[in-house]
Amino acid sequence: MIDFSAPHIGFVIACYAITLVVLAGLALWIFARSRAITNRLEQLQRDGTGRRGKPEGANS
Amino acid sequence: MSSIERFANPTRFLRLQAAVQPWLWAITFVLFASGLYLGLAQSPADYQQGETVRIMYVHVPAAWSALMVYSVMALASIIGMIFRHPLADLAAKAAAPIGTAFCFLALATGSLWGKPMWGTWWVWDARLTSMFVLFLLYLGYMAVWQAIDDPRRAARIAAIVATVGFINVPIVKFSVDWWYSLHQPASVFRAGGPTIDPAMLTPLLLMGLAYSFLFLALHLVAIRSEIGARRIRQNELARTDALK
Repeated sequence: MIDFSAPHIGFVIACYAITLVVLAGLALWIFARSRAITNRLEQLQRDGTGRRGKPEGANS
Repeated sequence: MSSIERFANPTRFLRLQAAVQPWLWAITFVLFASGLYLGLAQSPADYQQGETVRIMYVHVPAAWSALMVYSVMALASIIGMIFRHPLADLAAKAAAPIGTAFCFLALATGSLWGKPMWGTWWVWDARLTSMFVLFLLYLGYMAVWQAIDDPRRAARIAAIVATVGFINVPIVKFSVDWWYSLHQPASVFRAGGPTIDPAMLTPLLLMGLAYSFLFLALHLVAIRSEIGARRIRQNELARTDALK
């Protein structure tokens, strides 16, 4: 079991803290971007725009 | 049609990604939980380094993953250049921020480990310098994608950066053998087998797997985003053309 009274324990805690912050931040950023892109795609579909940008029914 | 081509189809990829994603998160969680439990609660302190040896369980997997992700990026770039498959370019692009984060963690936690063990935060020796060069390569790769508007041109130039930069990966790996370094030599992936006690090796390998599965899980979400972003871009370009 980790001994929290050991010398240099602050360096160990700092390493785990920075790892948690960076990996959680990375995951949150990737999720937020994914959500924003999904919302934008859904908005485009609601606006009635097909994959090639033409409004639905405007094929001619 | 080969299996690679079949799964490289964006629509098929999105279906596959949705199916495997929950399993990837579950495996990642179990690996992190067991790795951290064994590393922090069960493994002993080192007879020389004391408790600071526990930095190994986050530092070493971060360094392994930074090298692995760059290799994935370079391979995807080569596939993109040879087969001109757009999903390969997107896979390489999506991997870059994840690899950058792992590389930053390897440098930061290495520095925090170096201070109590070597008496210094940083030395410009072969291992540390080549790892810093890897970090700069990641930043350079992402800067290319940001700087060039045309995605096809950006993909081509970024692929060249990734492929040429791959030469640094074996340099990082073998730097401790080729040059004098403060950094210890390889102690896990080496001829003759690992030199670490199984009580420490098991949590280290579990954490290595946890980082790998975390990469896989995040990478699939990021590729999905890149496919979506490309569809939005195509859509907006087509809309602009339609308005002309």
